Amino acid sequence: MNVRQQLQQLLTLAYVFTSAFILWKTLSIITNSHSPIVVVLSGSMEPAFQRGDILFLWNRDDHAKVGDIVVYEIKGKSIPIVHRVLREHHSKDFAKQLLLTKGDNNPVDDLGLYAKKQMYLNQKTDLVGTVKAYLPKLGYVTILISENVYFKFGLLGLMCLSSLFSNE
Amino acid sequence: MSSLKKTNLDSVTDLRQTTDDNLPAALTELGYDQSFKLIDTKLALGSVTVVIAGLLFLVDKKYEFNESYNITVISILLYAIFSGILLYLNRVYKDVKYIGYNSKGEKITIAGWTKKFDPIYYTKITLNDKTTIESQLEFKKFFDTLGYFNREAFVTVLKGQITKKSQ
Repeated sequence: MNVRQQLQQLLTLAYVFTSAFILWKTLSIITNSHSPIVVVLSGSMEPAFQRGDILFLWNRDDHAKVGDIVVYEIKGKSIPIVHRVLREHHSKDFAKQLLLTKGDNNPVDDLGLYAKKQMYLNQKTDLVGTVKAYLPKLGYVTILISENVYFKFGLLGLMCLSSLFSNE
Repeated sequence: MSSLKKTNLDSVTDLRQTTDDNLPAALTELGYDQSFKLIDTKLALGSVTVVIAGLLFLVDKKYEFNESYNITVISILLYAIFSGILLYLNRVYKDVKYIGYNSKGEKITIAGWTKKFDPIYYTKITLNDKTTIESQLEFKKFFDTLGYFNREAFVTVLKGQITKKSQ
């Protein structure tokens, strides 16, 4: 029985991680976005969004509209950028749509941010998603986690301890 | 070893936990052999869900979102199925702490739970999946004033409950 008890404890600990991960992947599938929740990292969208805001994305829109706030990633650079759609060109029935974006707080559009020779974003392939909702400031925890190693392991340790000691 | 451990008499959770831990030993004295089928099934199901999640994690690390889309959907569905079965088992066998068979092949299922601040161990004993006996056992009957668990007293109390309905 001791082996069984230990295995049960191990599983209970594992459930913390597996359920969180599966929840994340499910949300990812539903929104069709590889990162359905992002944290604003820069101040380029002030005063609309501040560093630390949590954004909820949706990536099943047929096409983007001028004025939408989108999150995109440039191939080769892993940081997601949250900016507003300034201009768009589309083919018949929006089969293909190209976007030009600009941060509200930036003086120029994003052309300088795109990859070499890239003039526009492809709505279908370059976007992580369109911002549909947000929560102010709560994302600062994840900024701390990713930027402060002690915080990350401290929090993880707390989660593990709490799951091991719950007996109710 | 467990008989030397003191239980916090003020914590209903601790009292219940100690009682649950001593159930197998007590029932062995009453002539029952524990059946681990349910426990092992639940452990296996749980392990499968962890494996599915682990494999999905590896796939997620290695492949792009679009490439791994279909596999991800399948994995999530499989995870949901196994998780669902596990949840169903937990619902059907709610609070079941012991399942055993005696030498005559009779089955006994013991479910035990407590309510938040009552020092009472509520039990539902099912014999051969047919007859059920619901009883309320006061912890003070088998814990002494220092917090030590009294195995003999517990066995006597259990025996009394089991033979009650069979009369």
